[in-house]
Order: sequence, then structure tokens, then C-alpha cells
Amino acid sequence: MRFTVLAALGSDPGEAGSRASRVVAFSGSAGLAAAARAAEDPYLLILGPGARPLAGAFGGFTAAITPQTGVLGGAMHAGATRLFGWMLAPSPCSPIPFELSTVSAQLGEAGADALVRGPIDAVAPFMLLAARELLLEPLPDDPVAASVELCVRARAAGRSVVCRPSFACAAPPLDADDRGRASALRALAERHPQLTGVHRLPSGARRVAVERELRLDGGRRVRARVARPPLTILTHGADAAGAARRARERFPDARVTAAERGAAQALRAEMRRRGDRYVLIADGAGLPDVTALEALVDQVESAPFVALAAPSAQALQGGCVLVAVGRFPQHVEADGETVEAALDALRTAAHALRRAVRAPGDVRPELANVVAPRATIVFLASSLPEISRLSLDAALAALQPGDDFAAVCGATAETARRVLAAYPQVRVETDAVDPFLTDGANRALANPRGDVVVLLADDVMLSTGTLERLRDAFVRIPSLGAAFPTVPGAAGGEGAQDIEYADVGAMQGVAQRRAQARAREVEPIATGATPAVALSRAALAAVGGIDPAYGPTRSGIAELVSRLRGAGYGVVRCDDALAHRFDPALSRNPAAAADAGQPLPVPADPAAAARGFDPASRVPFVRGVPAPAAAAEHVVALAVAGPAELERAAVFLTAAARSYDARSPVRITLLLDGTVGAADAVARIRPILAAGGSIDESVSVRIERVADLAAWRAALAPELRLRVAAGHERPALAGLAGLSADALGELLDPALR
Amino acid sequence: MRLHRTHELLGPWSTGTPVLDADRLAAVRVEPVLRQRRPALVLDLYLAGDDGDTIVPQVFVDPAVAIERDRDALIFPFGTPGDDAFALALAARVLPHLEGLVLGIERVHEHVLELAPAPRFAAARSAGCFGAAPLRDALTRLAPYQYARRFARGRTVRLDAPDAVGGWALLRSTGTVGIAEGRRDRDACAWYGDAPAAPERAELAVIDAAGDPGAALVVVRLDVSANGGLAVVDSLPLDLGIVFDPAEGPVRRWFSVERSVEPAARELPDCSSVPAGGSSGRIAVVLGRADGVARPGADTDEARALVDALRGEGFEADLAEEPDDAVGADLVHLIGTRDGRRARAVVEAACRARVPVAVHAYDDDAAAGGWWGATVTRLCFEHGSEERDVTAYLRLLAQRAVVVGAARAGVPYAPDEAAPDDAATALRDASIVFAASEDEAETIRRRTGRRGPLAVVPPLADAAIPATVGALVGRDPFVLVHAPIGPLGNQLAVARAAAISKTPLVIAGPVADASYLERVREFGGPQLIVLAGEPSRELAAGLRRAAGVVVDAAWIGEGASRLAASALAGTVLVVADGRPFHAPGLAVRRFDPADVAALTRAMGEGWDDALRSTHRPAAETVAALAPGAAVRAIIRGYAEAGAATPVT
Repeated sequence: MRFTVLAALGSDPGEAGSRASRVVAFSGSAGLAAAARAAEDPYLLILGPGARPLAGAFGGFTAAITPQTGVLGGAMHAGATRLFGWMLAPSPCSPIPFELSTVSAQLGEAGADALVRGPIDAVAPFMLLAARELLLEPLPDDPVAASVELCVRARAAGRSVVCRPSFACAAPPLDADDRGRASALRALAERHPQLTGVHRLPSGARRVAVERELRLDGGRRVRARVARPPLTILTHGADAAGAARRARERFPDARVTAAERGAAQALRAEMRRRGDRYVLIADGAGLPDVTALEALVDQVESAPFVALAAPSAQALQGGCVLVAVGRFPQHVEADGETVEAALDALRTAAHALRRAVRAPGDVRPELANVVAPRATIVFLASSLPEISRLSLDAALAALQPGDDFAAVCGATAETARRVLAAYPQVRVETDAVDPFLTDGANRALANPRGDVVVLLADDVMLSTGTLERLRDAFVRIPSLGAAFPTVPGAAGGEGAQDIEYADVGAMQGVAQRRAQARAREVEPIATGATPAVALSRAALAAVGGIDPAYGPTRSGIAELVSRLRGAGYGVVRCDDALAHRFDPALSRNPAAAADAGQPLPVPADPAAAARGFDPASRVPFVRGVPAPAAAAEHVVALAVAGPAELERAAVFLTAAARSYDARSPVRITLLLDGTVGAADAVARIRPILAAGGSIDESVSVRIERVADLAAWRAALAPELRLRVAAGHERPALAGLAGLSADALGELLDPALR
Repeated sequence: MRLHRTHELLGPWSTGTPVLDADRLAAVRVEPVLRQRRPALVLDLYLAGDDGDTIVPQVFVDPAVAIERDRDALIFPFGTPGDDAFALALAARVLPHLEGLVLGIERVHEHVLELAPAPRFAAARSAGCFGAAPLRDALTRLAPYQYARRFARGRTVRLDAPDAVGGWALLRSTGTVGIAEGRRDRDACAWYGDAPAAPERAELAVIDAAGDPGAALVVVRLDVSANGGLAVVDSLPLDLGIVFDPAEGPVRRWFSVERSVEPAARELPDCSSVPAGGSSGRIAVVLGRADGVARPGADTDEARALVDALRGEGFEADLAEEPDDAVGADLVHLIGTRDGRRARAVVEAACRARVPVAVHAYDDDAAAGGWWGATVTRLCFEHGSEERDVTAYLRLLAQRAVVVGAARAGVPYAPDEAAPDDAATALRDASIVFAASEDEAETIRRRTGRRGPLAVVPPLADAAIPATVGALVGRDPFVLVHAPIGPLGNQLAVARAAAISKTPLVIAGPVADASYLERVREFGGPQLIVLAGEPSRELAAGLRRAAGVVVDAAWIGEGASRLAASALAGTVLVVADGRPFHAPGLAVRRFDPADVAALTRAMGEGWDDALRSTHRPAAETVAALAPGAAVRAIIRGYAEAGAATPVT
């Protein structure tokens, strides 16, 4: 294969010179065209200013040229970067119908060549081989626009445009002074009206990655490459089996399921767990080839709000539809008897959720304006009454007509009950057992009257208008799962460190200014931890209530948020809404006190979030009836007076949790006879018990506040055998048989026998 | 209400009682644009009233926000009338349409959403009026008038050319502007407002190709032939708005400044000196950065002035573009050490060749904040999409609280390519190092451990004969920034300060980063004049002589040659802290380059100084900065460095 080297001034043909029939110098685009016209060889190797072929650039080069070759590009080594060229990505909201998506890799990046080898939209400038006929007319002066134009000409002539990474040159980096490039690209688009962007990545890379728009803190959006989500193909219709076979051949990495009947159920089963993955529904006739599927994937990834893509509105009925299942919140179901009906339900839901349906011909329905939803406030009253009353007054002041207010307090918290009873609009629920009020809270959350449920601990005081602004966020963002107010000093994403005020009165002033300055601003957050959060009723129904293992502590709230995000719901901080959380030392709130002993919540692992929410891990609002406990035969006493003894008890319980469960005929009783409060004890031992599985199935532990140990001992049923794990030094327990953590097994085995 | 202060050309206006009822929104023009090189939508809102209309042009929308609603989707131009509720009501009327556009699969084209009959809007659109017609057309029509703004300040202006009513709308706040009777286009007047008749005699006339300028002192003639004309580039809004630089795109039309008035002439001091002569030997002057010739800065000026002066002294002196060009020289003189690897290579090559090497250090310890600032400043303008974000980020910048990757204030930071360790090695091993001040000399000793000769020499100012500049910048004083346009030069901060304080600003220099220049135009306000591309030495001298204030806000300097030349031209200097430049009798106003508020204050004080100044440098300043003194000091340094070389 003969070629002529056209070398720009400042370039160094190097090895190319000895392989070429001639080397001709040129300058500028007009000079290039003139040199091309004068050349005799069918192919021209063009070297841009400063370019020099690297050693080995021409290995196997000749064999790579076919009669169909239009442009052959390679890798341009500039600094620490290897530039292979550009893909023309779609850009529907731009005055130029495509966007240059750079194809590059860091020097030394393993596996990069395989991903970029093959067809490419525009090759890297500075060293390329082109058919002579493509160069007879001048190219734009800008090197990037020139490359795009040249490659467009090649494709228009039915020739190939290929990247061959080993065909490499060293060249200066592209000049940051790229004045004129955008104009040149617009002119190019106007000359070639058929030219629109299609793909962001070259074909090799498309098999393993997608480019996705990510939102940075503050709102700026960037595109980043992420691993391509897994694909499930669901074939249906008369030829479902044949289509499945063909699908396996075309897409060997995909999981393929054939459903000749019951395709709608199969689709629902596929969508049971929402995660970052695609489900393709196709019948025998509509099964796409690799290129068509890639086009659908690019449509889905063109924006984070695209949920469905199909080649046409007709295909949207089931012929060929790509569903980004993670972009449908968990409560959205593909309801319907047939696959058409199921897909129509998804399409309708997508429109209602302001998700895009990318199918030519699909008409977006006119949607009614969404009105502000009614709210149910679930108020957890467990702090000191003075604090509780302050928060309660603020919360009640925020109520709108039609809102519902449920307060939860301990069954024995008489003061709290009296306080709450003074407000006729407050419905009171009680929690008989949990100082964190988890059961009561879950019961109240289970059946809210409003579409938005606000969980509000009584050590959090809302500023004026906060509830209204939280509620408005759900109107603006249909797929919102949870909205937190901004809470100064909080541990989660709702926390703000730059807000200061002297007292609660001053806080109202700050809140008012903030409400104006940052009106309707929300910031998506990865985790939230304050028990002051507005939740969508639908989202809550999908993921369940507060995990009793944690209660409404910051770990419990963070866990709830993690479930919501996994289930496809948005979680945000409302920057225009401010809430104040009282210091635990002041409020004496048990959950807040428990937070002190727990690690700060961390956002869920992105990989776990990408796997999606498993409906099996939904937390029921009402605890299941525990397995019938075996009649206790042994009682193990753990006396706890101070924090040190609580730690001692924790060590024992850790061992116990490994040996026992709730069905064991052994009961452990923490006897609180000192300064440690029940809430502190619960907070300390909850994680230990939860580590053994669901808390309902963990070792049977009772916490009792005991003023007189002797009386407690005397009141025990006579058939129970009492052992002492800690507290022998108390006179009432002295002389009883001891039990070390190591000896737990010995105790259990005879009991089981 | 979210507001922006970018791409300022014409703010919102009303032709009668302001219409603040969103139900009166009659038409919305939607156009896809590029904003900071990303797709965006720009809206023009037209509210029809009973006794006039209200037009709110250039409302920005980020398409993603129109869907995701993490904040208000509409960002209004500064000066939009009404309150938050008004903005919200407007958004409620517009957003359903935008949602459909963004969620749909079709490409968005410029179009109009008609919500009510809007005959005045339709007529204005046909007439190419700003706010109703596609920006590409409207900006092209207004471009010559925007150019004329530099001549119009406080003057009487007669507009007698096509689109005169739009020109009047653009210039009405700058001077006494009227339009010729025949130019009173009814549709345009209904759109922009009722323009007054032109005065009998005007100082500035904007006329068409066949128009009669009368006795106007300044004449802008539209639609002339290309020869000698000024180009209006086919705009690509928003990043490419009204631009007169043909490098930016194809030219749509031409106009010319047929007559102009020069700024008041300033008498320049006589700095000539008689070369001693009699020296011999070949000296290669090498620039310390690879693009020093392609993108000249103060270092390039100093190198060229040095070459000229050395030739005058009898040396065979050349400006070597590449280090290899210095082979065979009897002495190598490196100008600047920004590119550490290049500097070290030059010094080591000279040492290997046993040739003395002199280095002009230009050492402002860039790793101690300069590289950080150059990295993060533009992001403070780019990261937010509205005025409040920019203000907040600039406040953080002033507190040096902005962190981007490894770029953190308070700890040494330099990108790999700067190789500051190599630069330090070069400074340590050179035969002689020239510093601009004792402070800089001390810094060099401390940072590099240098023990060899280190001489303090004044910067060598270029001494060109000033060219006329009236046609480029008008006759009134202005603030001048002359340096390569890019992040290192920090022109963005100066542009912002000038826009906020409404100070006329001229930014001149080669373009190092085109996207940075776009940001400068975005935030620079309507008074900004950009002279892209390095001006000739004479033109640069003319600009310095005409400027009231010269600002050097660069994060990383290129020496003080241009400051010295400006000081000799009697211009007030406003210079970033840490830039090594001092001269007796010269009061330089200093500021923290990270603090735009401080820069604004310093620039304002400098502006006041300039208005009161006689623009005559003090005798001791002239004595200290006269090129002859600098050349003598440098040659003494050569002698010290190369006693055993052929340099005599």
C-alpha cells in the first residue's frame, strides 16, 4: 500500500518517511488541500505541527488498510494523556447538534487500547491516514473541527473511520486557545444537517461502560464513566424461546429469560428489586441487534431522568423496550395482565414522575398540577417536658388544614401524656416497652392520613414555615422519598456547619433569612440522621418503618435513608428549612443520648445502593409475633450501677448473643441499681443483640430498674434458678452461683437436655 | 429569585408601567445556547401591558434543573422587576413547556411559545430586536453600537444607521443619545421605547455606509467593506456573544471607526541613554517558558528589550526561542523560571558547555499560593450558576478556603509540569541571578540555598513609541490589564471587579486559554473591552500611556517590565501582593489577588488617584527605572558571572 506523507511545518516524519513514496511539506488547510491534489498515492499520511510517529507505530499498518478505509487514526501521546479522538454525543439542548465526547486514556492505563480499537466518530488529529479523495477540498483550520469534517466526509463516501491505538505519535497537547472551534463545528453541522450525535463512547468501551451525568454538591453536573449496568433480557410472545436463543447469541453477558406466557408477571418479578440495571423487554420481531441496543442504552444514559427507551412509540408496547429499573421508585409497579398493560403502567408512571420516555412518536400526556399534599406528623415525645413542649408548640403551629398530628409517648410517661392531652388536635399513641418509642412510631407511620409523613422527635424544634417548605419539596420533586430540614451541627447530610445563632429566638431570624435567600433549594444527600424528616407515604410503605434494632437514633434514621435510596427515592436536605436540635444533655432524649455511644452513620456503599433495595428487607411497621419463648429455667442476673459495669455487662451479652436466642430457656436480666438509665442501657445493648440477627430473635434480655435487689430476688418465681454473671459484691446477690461468659454453653446444654 | 450578572448587554426594561402580573406573560422566546460550553436554554420573557410592555431578556435555564427541580429553574438577569412570587408565577407558566422540551426526544430549536396575542413581540421579532429575535441575529445588529459604547461615555450621540433604536437602547445610559428622524422604526420603538431625536450637533455619530457624519469628532460607519474595517463575528451565544475578533469565527459584517479622538497626550520622560558600547561576545537570551514567543508577556518584553540593549552595547545578542538555539553562545541569559524543567535544562546545558548562565528569576514563590489561585479562581466563577453562588465562592476564595484536588491554600502546591524543584535547582546553580527586589533576592536564597552572586536590578522597560489608540479604546481613561489571557493572569478577578464598580476596563494580550477568555467576557460587564492577541509594542505603549490605571493581578507573574513601562508612562499601578516590584517615588496600591473585594477597593482608589494625577513620574522613579540603569546593572552582573569567559 503506497502512501505519501504530508508533513506540516514543525513535524518530524521519522519512520514514516522511509515507508512513504514521498514526503511533502505543507502549511495550513489550503496548503494541505493543494498538497493532496498534487499527490498521486491513494492514501495520504498527514502529520500535524509538532507530531512525530512513535516507534512501532507502523507495525502491521499495511494490513490494517482495506479498500474501504477512509480515515485511520491512532493515539496521540501528549504529556501523560493518550488521545484517541472523539465520539459525537447527542446534545439536544445545544445550538450544535452534537457534543464532542473525548476518547482518551492515561499513559500506561491497562486495557485502554482494546476499548477504543475500531470505529470512532473522529480520530485524533496530528497523525492520521486518509484516502486522498477526502482531502481535495480544504478542511477547517481548527485541528479538531478538521478531524470531524474529514471523518464525516469519509462516512459520507461509504468509507470507514477507524482508530488503531498502536498507530501512535507524540504531539503537543491541543492548544487551550481553541478560539473558533465552536464556530467551526457549528458551520460543519450546518453543512451536514444529517449529522447528529449518537454515542458517547466507542463501540469497544460501550460493551463495558456508560457515561452518566452525575450531580456534584452545589448543583454542577459532570459526566463520568461508570461500569455498564447489568442487562436482563425478557423475551415474550409466540417466539419467546427463539428470541431468547438469539438474545443469548447476541448478548452473551446478559441474563435472558423467555416468557411465552405471563410476561407481565415475569416483568414484575424482574422489577422486584430496583437497582442500577437494565431490563430489555422484546418480542421475537423486536429483539434488537447490538447496535440498536447500544442506541437504546445511550438514550437511557443521555440524562439521569430517562427511564424508558424504545425505537418507536409502537415498540414501547412491548416490541422492544429498555427499562432502567432503578429509575422507577419501588412503589411503582408494572401492573397489568399483559405485557402491554404493564409497560403502559410504567410509561404512565414515568410521565407522572417527570421521567423521560425516549421513544420517537411517544406523546407526553398533559399532567394536572400537583397540589401540596396533606401531612401526618408523628411526634415522638420522650424528652424533658419543657423541651418537648417547646417543640410541640412549634410543630403544631406549622400544621395546615387537613393535616394530622399523632404523638407517641411511653405508656408510663404520665407527664408527657398529660402534656399531649392538653392539645385536642393531637392523637396520642403509646409505646409500652421501648424507651425509644420505636413500636409506637412505626404504628403511627404505618397508617398515615397524609401523603407526606413527618417523623419528628421532640428534641427537634422546627422554625416557622419549615413544614410547609418540606412539604413543597414533594410537590416539586415527584420521586422524592425523604426531605430533611437543615439542622445545624447534625451528623448526616442534613447537617450544616456554617449556621450560628445565639438562642432559639435568634434561630427564627436566621431561618427567615435563609428561607428567602435559599427559597426552594434542595441538596440531594447520601445520608441523613436527624429524627426530623418528611417522608413520602408511598416510599415509606415500600421500604417499611424504623428498624427496631436501632430505633429513631441517628443510625436508625440513616438506615431508613439507605433503604429509601436503594429503593430509588430521592433524599434531600431543604436549604430553605431550618430546624434546631437541642443538646442531649438538655433534652434528656433517650435516642439522642444513645447516639453518643454509636458511631457516626456513613452513607451506604454505592455498590450496595446500585444493587437496589430488596423488598425482603422491608421493616414491618408492626413487629411480627415473636417465636414463643421457652419457659425460662434460668435467670442470669447482671447488676449494673455505673458505666463501667454497663461495659462489663456488654461483654457478657456479646458472648450470650452468640450462644442463646430468644427461644432458649435462659433469661438474662440487667438489674439497673445505680446511675445508668434504661435508655443508656438499651442504647448500649441494642447493637449487640441486633448483631445476632433480628432483634426479635436475639437472646432474651430484660432490663429492670431495681431499687431493692433483695426484694427483686425474693419476687422471682421459685422454679427459676438464679445465676449471677456480675454483681456478686451486692449483698443481695452474694453467695449465688456465678456464671462466666465462657461457661454459658455449660448452662445452656443441660437446660436443653 | 435567582439572579445572574453575566453576559450583560441590555437588562430588563419596560416601555410603560412595569408589568408584574405573570398572567400577562404573552410570549416566551426559547433558544438553545452554550453557557460555559454546556448546553443551556435562554429565555426572553415578554409581558404585555396596557400602556407598555415589560421585557425580561436572557433568563437562563439549566435543562437538568427544569426536570430535577433541586432549585428554581429560572435564573433572571440582575435588575428584573418584581419579587419572588412574581418569579415563581412566571416559572409556573413556563416550566411545563420546558419540561416537555427537555423530556422529549426532539432536538430543541429556537422558537417562541405564545401564551397570548403578542403583535408587538411578533413585529419586534421580525425587526431583529434583542429580546424577540434569535440572538445570532440580534447581537449582530447591535454589535457596532456595543463597540461605539467606548466612545459614547458622557457624550452627545447621533445614531443614523440601521437598528438605531436598538443602538439607542444599548447606549442610552452612557450619554445623550438620539436617533435620526429617518431611523425611527415604529416596531423597534414600540419594543425598545420611544427614542428621542438626535441633537443637531453630536460628538459621536454612528452612520450607515452612505451616511453623512457631519462635524462629529468620532464616526462609526456601518457595513463598510472588509478593508480596514472591524469585524463582527457570527455569534454563538452565549459563550460567543458580541465579538470583534475574527479568530473566533466567521465574520458577519464589517464596520469602521472613521474618525476618532486620541486620549489626552501625556508627556513621557526622556529615558534615553547612550550605550557605552565596546562590548563583544555572543549572548543568547532564552525565555523561561516554551510559549513565551507565541504568547508574549512581560518576560518577552523584557527579553526583547534586553536583546536590543545588549546589541546597542556591542554584543551579538539573540532571542533564542528554544534552549537548543543557545548552543555556541558565550553567555546564556534565561528570562524566568516558570517552567522548572526548561530552566534547569538551560542552566545545566550551559554548565556542561562551561558557559556562564545568568537568570532573571521572576520568583514570586508561586508554590506558596500562586498555583493554587490559578487553579481554583476560575472554578469559583464556574461552579455556581447564579450571582449568589459566585459571591459565596469568591468569599471563600478570599478566605483561601477553596480546595480543588491537591490545590489547597496554606500548603505548597504546584502542578507537576511547573517542577518548582527543578526551578530552584536552576536558580541555585546559575552563575548569576537577577532579582527585582531585596525581598525577592532573600526569598531566592532561602528557598534555593543559593550562595553565588545575586544582583538586584530594576526591570527593563520596553521603550517603544506609543501608537494611536483612540479608535480602539476611546479617549477616556480606563483600567488596563496587559498579559496573556488565562488563569495565571487572573483577569477574571479584575473583570469582575470592574463590572461591579462599573469601571471601564481594557484587557489586552494573547489568548492562552479561550474558555477563560469566554469567562472574562461573561463576567466583565458591558464596558469591558477585550483586545485579543498581543498588541504591537507601539500599540501596547499607546495603551499604557492612555490608561489611568494599570492592574497586575496575576497569580504568577512574568516579571515587572510592563509595570516599569507603565510607571514611566505616569500610569497609576495597582499590583497584587507579593509581586516583586518597587521603585522610589512610586506609590503602588497593593491587594490580595484572592480577594476580589480588596481588588475592587484598590482599583477604585487607584482610579481616584488617576483622576487627580498629573501622570508625570517622579524624577527618582525615572532615574531608577530608566532602561539604561537596568542594562548597566545586568552587564555588571555578566562580568561578575563570567570573568573567565569571552564576555568583556
